Amino acid sequence: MLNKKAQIGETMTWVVATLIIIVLLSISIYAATLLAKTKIIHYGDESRTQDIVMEKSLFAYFQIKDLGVREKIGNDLSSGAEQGEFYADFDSKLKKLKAYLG
Amino acid sequence: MKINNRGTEKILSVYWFAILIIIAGAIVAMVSLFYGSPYDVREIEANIMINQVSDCLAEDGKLNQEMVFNNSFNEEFSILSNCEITFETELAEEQYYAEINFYELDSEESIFMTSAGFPNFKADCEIAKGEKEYERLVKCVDRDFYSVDDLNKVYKINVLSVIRKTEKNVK
Repeated sequence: MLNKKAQIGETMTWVVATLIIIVLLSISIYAATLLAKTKIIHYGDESRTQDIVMEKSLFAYFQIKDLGVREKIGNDLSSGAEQGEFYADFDSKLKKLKAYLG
Repeated sequence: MKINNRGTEKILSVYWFAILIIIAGAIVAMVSLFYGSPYDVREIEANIMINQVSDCLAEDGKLNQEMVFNNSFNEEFSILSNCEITFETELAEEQYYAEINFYELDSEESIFMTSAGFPNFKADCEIAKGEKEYERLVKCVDRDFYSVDDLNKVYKINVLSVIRKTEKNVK
């Protein structure tokens, strides 16, 4: 009788252990599925020293003769930079171009 | 008693073998699930396309005279041939769409538009924006920049780039 009880106890331990192993593995597989969905590379993830589109606007800014229009575009570009529309450092690029193109 | 012990040992080794197979199978499943799903690089591809298009539209802040000259737009301007872009892929269906819109300052109305590729993708951009389950349908990136024409007139130019290639980038 005692031997039977011990056997049942031992079996129950293994059953519970197996269930725990299966649950842990299922959670890991589900986590791997979720992680696989996050494999998206964003253009802005890496810090860049160049932003071709931003530089096009900056070159145009220095080409504009009308000071009113120039100021308007300058303000528009600055607000764009504040909103994070550009991938490179706007202020440093503006300073560099100002030194060359004035 | 000895025979009984041997039986228990046999059952235990079968159990351990089964557990080993389950764990090994789960590890294989996890690795194949993670490494089997591709990286979604469409946003980078869309930005590269925008860079290429903007590069052929303007240089040093001045608009390409093949596009705008003497206040008139060239209707013959082709994004594909003028900007040296090819939309051919290994896939049978079209996968790209590019659109350029010109705006005058302080105006929301496009004064000239030219495009290339499959135009239905533009509608997919709106669908992809709205519903989370359609988020991966297409990747749309649009950027604005300013440029000056030969008569010193300033234009705001919007370049829209749409990439489908769902099969290659999303599982």
